[in-house]
Amino acid sequence: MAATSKTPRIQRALALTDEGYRGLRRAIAACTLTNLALMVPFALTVMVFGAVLMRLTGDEADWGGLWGLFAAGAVGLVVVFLCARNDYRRTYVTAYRETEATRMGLAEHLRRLPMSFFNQRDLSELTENLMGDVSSRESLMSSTVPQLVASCVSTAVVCAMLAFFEWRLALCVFVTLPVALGIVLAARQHERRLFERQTKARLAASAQLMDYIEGIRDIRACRQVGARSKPMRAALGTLRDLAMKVELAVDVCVSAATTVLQAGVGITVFVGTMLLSGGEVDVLTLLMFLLIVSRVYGPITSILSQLPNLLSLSGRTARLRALAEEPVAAGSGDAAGLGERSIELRDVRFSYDGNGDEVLCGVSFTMEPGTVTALVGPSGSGKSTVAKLVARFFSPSSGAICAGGVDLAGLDEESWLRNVSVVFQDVTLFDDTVMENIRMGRAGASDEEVLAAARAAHCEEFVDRMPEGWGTRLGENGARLSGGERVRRRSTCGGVRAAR
Amino acid sequence: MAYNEPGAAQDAGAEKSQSCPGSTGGQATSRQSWAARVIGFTGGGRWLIYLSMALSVLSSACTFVPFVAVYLVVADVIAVYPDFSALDAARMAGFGWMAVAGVVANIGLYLAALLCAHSAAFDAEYHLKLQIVEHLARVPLGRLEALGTGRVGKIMDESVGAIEGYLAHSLPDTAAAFTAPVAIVVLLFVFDWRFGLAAVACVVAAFGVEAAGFSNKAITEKMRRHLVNQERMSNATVEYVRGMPVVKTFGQTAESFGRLSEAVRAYTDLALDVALFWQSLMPAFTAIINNAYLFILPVGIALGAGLDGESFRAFALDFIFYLLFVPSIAGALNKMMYISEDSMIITAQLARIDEVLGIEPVPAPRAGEARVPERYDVELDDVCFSYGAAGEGSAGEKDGAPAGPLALDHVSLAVPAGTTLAIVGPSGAGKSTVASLVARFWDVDAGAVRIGGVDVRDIDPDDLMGCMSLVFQDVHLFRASLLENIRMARPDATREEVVEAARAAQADAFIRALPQGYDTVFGSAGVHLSGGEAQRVSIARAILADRPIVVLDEATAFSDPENEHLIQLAFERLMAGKTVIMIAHRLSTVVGADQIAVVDGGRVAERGRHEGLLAARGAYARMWARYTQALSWGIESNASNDKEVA
Repeated sequence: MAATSKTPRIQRALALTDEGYRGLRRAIAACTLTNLALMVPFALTVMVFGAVLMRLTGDEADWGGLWGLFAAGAVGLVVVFLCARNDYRRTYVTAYRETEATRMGLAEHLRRLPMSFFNQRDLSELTENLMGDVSSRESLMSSTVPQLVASCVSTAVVCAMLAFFEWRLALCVFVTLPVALGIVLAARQHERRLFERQTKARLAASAQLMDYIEGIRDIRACRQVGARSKPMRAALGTLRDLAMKVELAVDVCVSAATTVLQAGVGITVFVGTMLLSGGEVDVLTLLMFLLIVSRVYGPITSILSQLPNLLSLSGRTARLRALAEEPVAAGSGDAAGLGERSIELRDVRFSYDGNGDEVLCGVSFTMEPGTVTALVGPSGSGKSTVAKLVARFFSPSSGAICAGGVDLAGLDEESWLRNVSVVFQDVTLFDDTVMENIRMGRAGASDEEVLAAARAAHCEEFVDRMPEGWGTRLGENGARLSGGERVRRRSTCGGVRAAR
Repeated sequence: MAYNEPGAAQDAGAEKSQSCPGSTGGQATSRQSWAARVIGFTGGGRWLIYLSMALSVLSSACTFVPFVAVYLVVADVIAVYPDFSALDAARMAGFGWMAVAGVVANIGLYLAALLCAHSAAFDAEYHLKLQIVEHLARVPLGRLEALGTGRVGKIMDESVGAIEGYLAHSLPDTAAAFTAPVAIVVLLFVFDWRFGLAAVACVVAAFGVEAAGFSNKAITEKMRRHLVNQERMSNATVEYVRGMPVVKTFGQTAESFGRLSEAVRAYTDLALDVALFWQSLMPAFTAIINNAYLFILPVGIALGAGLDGESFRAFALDFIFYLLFVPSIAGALNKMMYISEDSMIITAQLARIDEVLGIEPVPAPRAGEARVPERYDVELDDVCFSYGAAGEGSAGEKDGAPAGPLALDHVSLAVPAGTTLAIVGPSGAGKSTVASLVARFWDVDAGAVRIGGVDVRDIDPDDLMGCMSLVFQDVHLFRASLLENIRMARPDATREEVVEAARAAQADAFIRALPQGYDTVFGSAGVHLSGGEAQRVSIARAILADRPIVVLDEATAFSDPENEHLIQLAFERLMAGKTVIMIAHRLSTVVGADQIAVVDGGRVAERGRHEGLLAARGAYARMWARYTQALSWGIESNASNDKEVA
């Protein structure tokens, strides 16, 4: 993902890859082409008007010549079809492929991030990044951005052509545009503040709601169903009222802008008929402008209502960019064999929030290979922290942890972790079969090896009781296992690892 | 002159994320019922929705006013042609004002429609969320746990949000979209019917193209698979991120990445497949509606050929009007494109909401028939239960043949009032199931659970909860002060009583050490409790509640012996003088129990006191031997293979 300041603004705002940006530019070009092709029907209609007016003046000319225009129109239809097909393909293929590339890129980036990143960050936010943010960008890319830019371009082209043709009527058509734009932009500041408040209210309501749902067992046990729902009700009520306020502000603003914009129809009629009766324009020109003015505002209205969204695009993709720019795990040294050496903590200091209370204040000791070190002490004393530092879940604030004299910080994370087996207290299981969940410990282990490890961790008895034995799917986080069963299956993973 | 209408223009900000272009719609037959259901969610605000739809139709009708004004101008111009000085300036100005008035009415009415619809929609969202939450308070807790709170949260977020979006935008737009065909038919009678028919032919051709897509069976099937793939990718992402710390420790990121990328690729490929299915049909639709004049033109040429003088003047007016008017069909028809897509999305979301609302509430005894237990002994009488049956059938289905393997198989247990029953046994033996049935998280398939001789199904659910305290393995603390967290067991308790309970639960010391002591808000920045501490808070809750029956599920594992000791002390205070059912995961806690039941494979294998069971040399004696052996766990024997951390 591009990060240099030279990257084009749109590319940066959308956090696009170079490939995606090229695709988007082609999609915009294709959409513009379609818009220009759509002027063929318009031009031919004007020519039909001309023929009708000619006959009104008694010029019997060549009425049958209209069939020629019809034939040209039929060709125009085919051209429009081909252009539309081209822009359809380009926009969707680009949007989907770019989304795929972004998802893969972020996922690939994620797995290179240090352990500490996952232990310090809200994982649901990361998931939201990978799914929600990328998806909303996908829909922006497939159905908003190319069409909007193309509309701007073709509107400008039309504007210029008309001004060249008859500048007074062109002015009538477009005079309201700056005013409408001004209204939308002026309201933006106010809207943005409202949006921020709404986002806050939504998060608060969502937190209250989840708190209630997750605690419903305790709430029912305490018979607090009504009482405990009060803060949730209040939060939902606030959200509802604020949402209405935002809607009111946005709708009134867009409506006002659209009204002002479309008042151009009336202005064109006034001025047009005045010029016509004054003999300054001919009737065909007036008809042409009446045709234009009845159609030109649709796309502009769309632009106006999308403008605030488009302007805040970079904010929406900021999370994507931040994630993509998160530094990957440092260290590249090969740790093979180091697990068989002694592990030494040298004056290790560590605090979870970076500068606050130190959990470890200068810890030094050595663990010899092949021995067991038990860490004991009251809760909160830092026992688990030491273990987590050794497993590189976090990095020490100062001091060093060395294996065989080599600082862990300089080692490739995955290479080092191949030396370590960890049995977690809080166990994560995957929505897959029991067999695959255990094989996780060592990809490529044969079924026999998995079964042997499972036997060693005393899993066999309960797995045999499951409906489909080893082929039973565990569901999200092992919803179908009891707690002790979970931990045991976990230690089996360690067993399959057969770590040193 | 026409442009691509930016598709997202139909709804500023609303995300139709993941939606495929021109995705197929649900059956027309079921549309009535779901539309009615969605409107039903608005409750009292229903009239606002109808009002909004009416306003939207009026607004849509007003979009034609400027065209009429333009037509009238053209009519006057042609009438005086070619002597334009005869044009009545005041009349022309009147037409100009008419056009402006049409615009103002169109937009004003639409604004009013949107505000009505949003007001009703936000209200519906609010009430629907509360309805779901209230429903959750009445369903068997086991069913809720099987569904998963994460899924419920997702339904709250996405599905209810979709209902809101549908009410707020789609319904008024749907109503408006039908105005265009009606207007075309009306114009058919007002103006030249032959041109009218040509306009209708254009609409029919456009929809014919669309119908060709919708009627394609293969694409319907692909759309369904697309939704499945989307869900799969979403799950794979959650798992990838959540499991990353674990995956990293096992050095399996490449495999994990492989699983995710496979899901992403499958999703993208099919999404593109579906999108490209429309790559000819959608542009054909666009091409037809933007070239509507081609339908008018041949009719005009043919009709105009034989006319002359005044008859041509009248004809020319109609001809020009239709040429001016038909391009506006495009905008109106574009809106209709989304109706079928919206309907499909909303049907799917309704189905997800029904996953929750469709759960039968715990059957409560009829008013007047509810009984209140007068003694507090607990009895399981020949109880059979299987999760399969409870999970698949309705909660009321208790006499039917159990479907899954039996979690409890003819279990009978009796706990006299004021005594303690400890349940031990291997993992998965059914220990926790016993506790779930006593608290009526599930209903038994056969047999009965009785309290003081009264079947729990004959006790009002609220009264049932009122006579027992539950302490779970995994404790949920609320985003409120710890004082409130404990006090929720008895809202009228004074601060002193809360502190007293916390002290008894060995929680006082660590709570006082928190930044704001008892007033510290749980979940606020930097406030975290260990699992053991959280459980002590929940024990304090139970002590404060002071109910005659205690059901407690001992935690599986604790990080340190200090915590374990404190929890042991807390348990002792809680259990004093109560009828206790304790699910024991460690044998150390059961030694003093009045009664120990060894459960294995869903049956009670042995029952008695500690000493008696040891003497019987059965399953319990073997477990005890293993337990005492594990206590002195072999550092020697495992030293070469294990690195014990923490």
